Amino acid sequence: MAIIQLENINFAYQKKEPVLTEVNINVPQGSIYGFLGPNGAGKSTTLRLILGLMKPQAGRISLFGENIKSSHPKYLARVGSLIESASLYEHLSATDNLKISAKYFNTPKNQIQGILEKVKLGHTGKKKTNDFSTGMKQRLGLALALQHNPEILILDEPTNGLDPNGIIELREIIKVLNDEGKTILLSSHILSEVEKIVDQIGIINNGSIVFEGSLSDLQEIRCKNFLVKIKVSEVDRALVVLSAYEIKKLDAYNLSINLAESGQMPSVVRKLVNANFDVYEVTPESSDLENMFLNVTNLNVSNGS
Amino acid sequence: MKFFRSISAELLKLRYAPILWLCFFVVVMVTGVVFAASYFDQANIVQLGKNPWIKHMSASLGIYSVMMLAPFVVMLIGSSVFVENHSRGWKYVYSTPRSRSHIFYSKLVAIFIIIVSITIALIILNIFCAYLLNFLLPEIEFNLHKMMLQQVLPNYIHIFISSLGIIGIQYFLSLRFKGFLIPMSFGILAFVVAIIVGSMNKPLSLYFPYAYPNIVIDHHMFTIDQIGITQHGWLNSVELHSIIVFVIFIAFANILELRKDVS
Repeated sequence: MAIIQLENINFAYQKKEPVLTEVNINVPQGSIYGFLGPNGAGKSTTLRLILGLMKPQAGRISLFGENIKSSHPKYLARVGSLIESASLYEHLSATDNLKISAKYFNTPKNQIQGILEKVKLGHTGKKKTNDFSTGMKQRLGLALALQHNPEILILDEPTNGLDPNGIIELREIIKVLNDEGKTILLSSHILSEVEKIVDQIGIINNGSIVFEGSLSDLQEIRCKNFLVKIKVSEVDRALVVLSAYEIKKLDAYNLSINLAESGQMPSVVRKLVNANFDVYEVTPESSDLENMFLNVTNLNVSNGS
Repeated sequence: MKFFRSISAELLKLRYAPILWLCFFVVVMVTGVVFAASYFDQANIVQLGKNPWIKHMSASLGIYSVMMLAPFVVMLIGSSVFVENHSRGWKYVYSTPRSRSHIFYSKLVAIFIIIVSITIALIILNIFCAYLLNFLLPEIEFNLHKMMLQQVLPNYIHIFISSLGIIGIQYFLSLRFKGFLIPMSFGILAFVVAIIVGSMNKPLSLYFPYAYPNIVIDHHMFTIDQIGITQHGWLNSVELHSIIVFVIFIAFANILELRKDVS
């Protein structure tokens, strides 16, 4: 069952400049849903629409099976969010920030210390959040989102500005929260960052959803459309030898080849070696999100035709 | 109950904010000026057969309403809304299970509470200041006269009502513009213009809500009326204008807030 459902959503800040076009999203209950797309694709706008911060020009958004038009703002008591950087009153301590949030969400103050401990900020005392590191601020933002024990957690690029340790810590926290039964909608522009934890993925590009499905569906697409960069001794001659493939010269030493599936790779290398080429490097590029969009879009076009 | 919790959240946001220093400054400045004036100009304060309390409390009210109130309101409202802009807090408060009107009015009530608290603090500090003067200059004889608060307190209420127009306009501007500079500059400029217009052309000042506290204090304390202020029960026409301006701007600001996209 979809706990978050967007149907044919259209949104534009200004007429004639659509930001979202016919967006459809289904987030299954209890899942970690990775919402991927390059910067400016419409991820944050979509999440803001879900939170009722903006209103779509067309379409329907349902949370917990109810249209948010009729359930706003009540449904927000069951949703926690961290949109881009955390909204913190920086002249106040972490505890004071959580006290403010507790007043809005009607939660008891005695939970505050426990939540701070959960995000590893229990030691901060009266320190103003202005003096916090970026990672600490993000963790406090997460604490604010979690304070009222929401069923859905919406996190927009939560790893922005975090160091590798911070990213790992945050990933662990997200896994634990999901194990507790929370549905997590997580946006990012870096596939490798989310693919370790998500089980459902939606990809948005230029305001349209280009893919939605499970991680294994996505892996299948990645294998079917495999972009590889090859560094060889004579690029121009290699273009002739590999003319049966979709191939492009990148520079004097590199070419890129688009294979229908990853299984073709050994035969390509074999051909080059048999034709006396020196092969220096073979780099798959399909994990790159931009290429993935191209792959997914190409696949959609070929399926459509 | 929810509304009280939201007001309390708004007040908590302003804890330790620079605005608290401004409040402190207003109270100390007004009381300090009155104290210094009384101390160094005893001849004017000690007048045979006259109650020094009335002069003392009126002086404080006069300085507060003519010189301090409008700039203070401008900066207080600017700061309390700016706290939200600065912390990118709108996206957070509007993601809580509270309606936008609920947030809008709780912030406004919190502003009222601060203004009323400052006024009460001012009155208390002035009473304390009078006793201190009496200790230093026993000839002033505050202790031999009644405080006459019942004469002074209604004037504080009239002044508060006359400032409602400024509160409405400044709240509207502060919500409309993200930065601190535009609403504050407008407010201070309007206050200066109101003083100039008030001193040059009294009837014209009726059209400047920023001049209303000045007009009302003249009307109530010094019974000066050159512009045909009429009385409607307990309120006068200028106070009614102030209430109307307040209602119009607050309603308009609320509508805009309801329709605002939070990006």
